[in-house]
Amino acid sequence: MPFYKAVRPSIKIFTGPEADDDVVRQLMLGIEEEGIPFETEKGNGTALEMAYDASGASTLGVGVGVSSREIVLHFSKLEKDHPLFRIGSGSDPETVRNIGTNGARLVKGMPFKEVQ
Amino acid sequence: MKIIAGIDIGNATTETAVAGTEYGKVEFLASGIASTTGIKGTSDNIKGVFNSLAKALKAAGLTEKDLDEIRINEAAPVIGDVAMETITETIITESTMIGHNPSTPGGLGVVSGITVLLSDIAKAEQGTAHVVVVPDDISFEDAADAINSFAEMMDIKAAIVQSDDGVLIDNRLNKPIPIVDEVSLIDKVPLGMMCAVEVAAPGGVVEVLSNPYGIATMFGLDPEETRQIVPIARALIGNRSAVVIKTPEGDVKERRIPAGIIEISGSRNKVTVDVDEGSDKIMQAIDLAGDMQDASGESGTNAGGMLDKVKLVMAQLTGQSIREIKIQDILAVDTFTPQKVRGGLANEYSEENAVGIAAMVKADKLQMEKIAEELTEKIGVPVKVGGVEADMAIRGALTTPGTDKPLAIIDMGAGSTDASIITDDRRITSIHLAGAGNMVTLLIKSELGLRDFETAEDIKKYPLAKVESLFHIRHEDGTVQFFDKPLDSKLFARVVILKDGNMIPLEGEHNSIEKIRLVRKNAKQKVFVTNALRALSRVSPTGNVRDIPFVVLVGGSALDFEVPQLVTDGLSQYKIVSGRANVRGAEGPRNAVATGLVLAMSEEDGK
Repeated sequence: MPFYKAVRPSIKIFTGPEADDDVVRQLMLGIEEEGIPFETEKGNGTALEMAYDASGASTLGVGVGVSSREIVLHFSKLEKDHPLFRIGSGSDPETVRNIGTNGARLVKGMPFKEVQ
Repeated sequence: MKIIAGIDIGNATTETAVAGTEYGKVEFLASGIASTTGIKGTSDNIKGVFNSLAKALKAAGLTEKDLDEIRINEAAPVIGDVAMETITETIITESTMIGHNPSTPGGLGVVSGITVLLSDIAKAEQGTAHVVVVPDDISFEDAADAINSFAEMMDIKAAIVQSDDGVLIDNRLNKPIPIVDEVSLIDKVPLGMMCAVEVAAPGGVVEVLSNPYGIATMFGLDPEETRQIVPIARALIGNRSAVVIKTPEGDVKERRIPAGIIEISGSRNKVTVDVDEGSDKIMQAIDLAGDMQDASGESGTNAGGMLDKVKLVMAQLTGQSIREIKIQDILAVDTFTPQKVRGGLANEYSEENAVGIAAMVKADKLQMEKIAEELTEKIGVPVKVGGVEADMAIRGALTTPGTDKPLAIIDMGAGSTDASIITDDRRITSIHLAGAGNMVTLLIKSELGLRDFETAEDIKKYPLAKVESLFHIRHEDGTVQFFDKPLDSKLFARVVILKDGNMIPLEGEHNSIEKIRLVRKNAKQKVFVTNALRALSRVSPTGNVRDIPFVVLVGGSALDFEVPQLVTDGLSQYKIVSGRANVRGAEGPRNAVATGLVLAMSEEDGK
């Protein structure tokens, strides 16, 4: 048996226990439209912690953390307390989708969509 | 020993040279530079003069009390202005064409069918090929479901979608079809009409619909109809996705916009030329007219308005009446500008032809004497207006190591390009031409479709880089620079201008670093290299550029990071030694006139 596993390059989305399914869905759609693979996993802690951990777990270095309060987009090379984007989970669907888009664009090297 | 100062008030900067002189010998002590305050040749300049002088005196360890005499330049009363007129326009009637680059279209291939709203597909004729039109009130899931469920019954070839959902729909289809998305004005897509859709693979461009014969094949057009769809094919070149719809009345037209007629009165002839005919014709007309005495534009047209504006500014500046102001030179340059296509459905842009025009006017004299009087009063030192600016500039330029007479100087400023030549027997001839730094800025602005002049000005002056990651940039020459701290996310993946240690991001993803660089270089070439040759051939005693052995570049544009190289390169073909001046072996292209003023003063003193 091989002692390593080939990991598919993907963006990781870590979702807390009370994360809104609709929010997660918008994030996924944003990433999908840009054509980048992603995976979701259950996580624990604040959105910032989950995003940071997700970016560490992602082979692309891009992670998203979703709690009941916040959505955070992180990049593994950034300091933990300085994520790339951070919005409230009550933001409108388009803004949430743009966070997903921007995660994918970070991988593709394309300018980000504006996020308020 | 006398302490003297030469002060040159330029359009942008006021430069000072301070020197000690005795028995005709001169020792330069210090230089100063400050921004010119107000428009050159008005009393507003005095503040800038004080600033510039104070800097030079401080550097020399002197005060105003130590000064024995000041000379200011006899500024050439020349101003230039620039304008641009678009001369073609693309209009789509009856919405027959959609050509744009959504960042993520779906599917692949080239197909055709009859346009039908997705909500009406159930009622459509079976056995006919269809292209479904999907407005944004239908979600991507519903759209995908509908297309999947009707796929058996109906022949659905392609989809035109309003929102940015192309990939999302495509990923949910059982059988993939080409999808063009982000079509903002979808309600204007004509229904029940024959339609061709093409989506190219990532990295590719449409090949069938950008080819007139490709469109003819898709729609079965006859030779006459094929002739008519050429503008459509042309407008679609370079797009990744495209839609062409055949309607009975539909058409894409390229129209020429009348920009007006310019009338040039020269020493030999009076010539009229239509601005829409392009820059070559205008420049030919100028040559034909001989030395320009005046030019005017047809009143009520853009050409007329532009030339009148230049005259008005000059009239206000010199206190002369507008009738006394004459246009002495015009430089016309062909250019292009991206314009929104009228009648387009997806914010299409089309590159339209345009003509850029720079005009130059000359007045009798600026009010330098008045400035000198005011200055004398305030400073308590005699201030005189000394010598023609061009003569002073040549004297200063001749202090550049390695130069000799006969020597020509080219002073490329913001509004005009000035050239002078000094022959072996010390005769000096000088001329002023329209077109300089501001013209370059205008060309950059129009060709890149920029909204403001400031951004174009920055592109002209500073090098570019691409932000490749949150931690590094790649300069336009290919070198990579890393940063310890992450860069602002607003800069990510953008082309930035490197201005004084800051990065200014450029909007618009369609302008790549290569394109911006090319536009910038071409603009500088079209204006500065052309004008360098034009200027030299006019001041050359033989009329031949080759008979001038040495050319030095002075003035603001000579400080540009690439203009001196472009001009040196352009002139090397004529076996001319040309390069950026190095006044007194130390000042670079700056301070030529101020240095010349000091030299002239000390020479008089020695007599």
